[in-house]
Amino acid sequence: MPIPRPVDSTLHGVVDYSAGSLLVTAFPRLAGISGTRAGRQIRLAGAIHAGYSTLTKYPLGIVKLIPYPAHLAMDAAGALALAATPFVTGQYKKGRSQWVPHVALCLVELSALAVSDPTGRGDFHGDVDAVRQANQESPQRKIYDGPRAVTPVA
Amino acid sequence: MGPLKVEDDLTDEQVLFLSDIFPTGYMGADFCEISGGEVIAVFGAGPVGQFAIASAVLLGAERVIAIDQYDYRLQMAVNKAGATDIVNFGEDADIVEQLKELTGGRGPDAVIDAVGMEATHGHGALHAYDRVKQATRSESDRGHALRDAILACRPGGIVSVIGVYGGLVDKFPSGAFMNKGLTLKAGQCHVQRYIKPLYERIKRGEIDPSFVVTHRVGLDLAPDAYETFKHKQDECVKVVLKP
Repeated sequence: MPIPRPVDSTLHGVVDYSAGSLLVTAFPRLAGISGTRAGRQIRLAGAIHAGYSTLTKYPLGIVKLIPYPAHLAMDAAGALALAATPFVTGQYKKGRSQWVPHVALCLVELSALAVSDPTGRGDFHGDVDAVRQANQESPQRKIYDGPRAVTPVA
Repeated sequence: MGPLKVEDDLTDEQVLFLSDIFPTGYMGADFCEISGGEVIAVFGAGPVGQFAIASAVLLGAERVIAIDQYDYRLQMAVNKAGATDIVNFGEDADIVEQLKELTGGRGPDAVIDAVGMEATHGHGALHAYDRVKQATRSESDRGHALRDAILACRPGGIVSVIGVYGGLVDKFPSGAFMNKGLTLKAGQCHVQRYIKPLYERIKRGEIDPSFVVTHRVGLDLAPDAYETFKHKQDECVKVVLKP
């Protein structure tokens, strides 16, 4: 049985902008890291995330440049980079507040990606091929061939 | 009240849609008070929209403009339902402007909303606004089709709503609605009101409702067929399940 991935590209976009805004504004203060290096890193990550979301080719994108699957790949790469940052810079030695938020955000992002449909459609997918093979009608014939189905009033 | 006995030599698919979508589309056109020569715009070229288009043609509209984002549905509207013009908002999102251009700046005489609360054609910012409000349960319906219908309709015209709405829609263009003197007619279809007259039209050969059927499969493929229909795969317009 396929893993459900019900989040379509529109809902993913809602999460992108909401999360990006939250990270830039309230999150550092709520996490108690406002004014610290960790806080600045998370604000920057949120701004970058919201920024490339505006350039993504999905319903909530403003300039539709980045293909949606590429956007998802950037989400994953960004999440892993954010989680790795405290360990690369060595700031993790200054206490849990300097690495736990990064790792937590990474896990949340990866969880969101796990339920996001890369085709953008969301929801379970039916076996369209089985329907196509079993179809006793021809869509092409019904749409493109033959006469009109309605006779206008004389 | 009650069932209608089909006594004539008609196929199941010719009479199947008398129970819902054909009278629904017909009622949408009936609301437009077509007396001959009108320009009617129909938002949505799904099964109900196809019947609204065909019904407007049956009632004597001079031009019927089909609006959708799927080219195959627009082709069916022209080739089978009798639409005279099409607007593909997948290519140009400004439907109101396109309708104005098609009608010399005047706007259609009547507009049928056969889309309802699950409209998908919203322009970037307004669409995002509606989706965010829906996600936060602040708004239950997406009103793009209804808004554009009101904005596009000519002054003194009729907006006919057969698309289903369930709750609240934001940013309703009340100013345009009032100042253009529009008439809004809406409702769930009164099927019993239309079923016998439409049955007579089918018997006379004025319309073959089976034109919307693009897929016919067995009951065992019902879930997959529903997904095919829902996601508009394989040029699907209407699925009939046969045991």
